[in-house]
Amino acid sequence: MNQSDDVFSIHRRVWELIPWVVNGRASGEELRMVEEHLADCSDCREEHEFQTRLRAAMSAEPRPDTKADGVAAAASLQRLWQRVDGEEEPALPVVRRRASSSFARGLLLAVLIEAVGMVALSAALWTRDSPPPGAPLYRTLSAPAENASRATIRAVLQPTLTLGELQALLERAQLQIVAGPSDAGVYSLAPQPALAVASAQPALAQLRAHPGVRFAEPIDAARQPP
Amino acid sequence: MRAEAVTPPQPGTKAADNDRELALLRLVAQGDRQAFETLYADYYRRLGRFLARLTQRQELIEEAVNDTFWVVWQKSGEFRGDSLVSTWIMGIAYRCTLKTLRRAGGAATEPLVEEYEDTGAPEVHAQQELRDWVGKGLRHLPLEQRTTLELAYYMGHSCEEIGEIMDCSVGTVKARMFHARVKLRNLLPALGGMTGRAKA
Ligand SMILES: [Zn+2]
Repeated sequence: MNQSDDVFSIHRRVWELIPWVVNGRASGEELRMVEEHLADCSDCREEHEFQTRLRAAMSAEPRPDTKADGVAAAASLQRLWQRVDGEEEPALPVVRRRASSSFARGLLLAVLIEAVGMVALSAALWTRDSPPPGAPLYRTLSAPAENASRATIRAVLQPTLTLGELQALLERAQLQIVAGPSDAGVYSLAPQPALAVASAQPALAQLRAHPGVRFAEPIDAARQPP
Repeated sequence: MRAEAVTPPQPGTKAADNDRELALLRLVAQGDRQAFETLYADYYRRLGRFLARLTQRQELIEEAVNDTFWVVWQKSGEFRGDSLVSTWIMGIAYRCTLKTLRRAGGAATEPLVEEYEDTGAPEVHAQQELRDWVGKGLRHLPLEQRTTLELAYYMGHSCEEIGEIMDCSVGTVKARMFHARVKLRNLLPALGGMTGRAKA
């Protein structure tokens, strides 16, 4: 093997190694060989530049994550658990509470926090109606069952619904949030205190007609969880 | 338009990542759902975007992601640690995707126009345009070559790991990479001459 053969074989080896140098997976020895050769070979330098740009373009994220991505991930996980559990829940799969869907809950909470800000949410929704005497002004998201027992409607909101839209909708439907979101992102809604005897039906119709509500259903008092 | 190196975290390519994933997988093998959900969250987005290079149909991507994690849930107890956890998961993902694409037929890999949200930030926008343009070039490559490139450049796997994932020899990985590179030099010549010489 003469010297030009040797140089050519190094060139070929280096050319082959370039992608693994670019993605950081070449060994230290390989990296040294490539760097040494790049100093002398403009073809390999150019190829190294090309592959570096190609990798940069390929690893750029297509778009920033949206709230919809978080909801899609949570919904997708939910479907997987249903499959794991061999459950058939075609009608309203998200209503069911699940012991360990902390990820789903986390995503939905993240969605809400991102949408309106936790402070704004707690201040504006939880305390905007004068609370019953003795009730705390601030409630955590896991509201006490006693409070939730007033609920007449369960609803899941679209992640795109803004705080302003939600407030307007609740105002119009004369509802307030009494619990939620649950692990599955379900809110429990109740008539505003002065209207406690009112039928849930008109409010239900308003919720269902709103594009920012994924679904809403009346809570059957007999089936209500304790 | 300069392509700055954007390096998102690549699961499983570092020893610490693998230790963490291995610990999670051991818990999953004992039926720990929370550990499973953590693993799912780690992979969901990247796996989805990886698969988006193989098919443009969102419902097939979703199906393949959940098929993959269904197998992860079922087989976690059989993982012996012979490879990195990420290599094991990506191998499952590759097999599940091939199965899904076969079932869906030829239309599954037909190119569709990707939709992007215009975020208004110019540097983000340029980066997305570049990605889009490169993505169009990639679609001219056969599935195996595209997958090889994607595993190397998006997921950050080594040549040997890609061989394990795609169940082929290192020589085959190298050959696929070679052909993909030659083709892309012809498809995307402008990528080579965009900014002249690299700065030292
Ligand atoms: Zn050279």
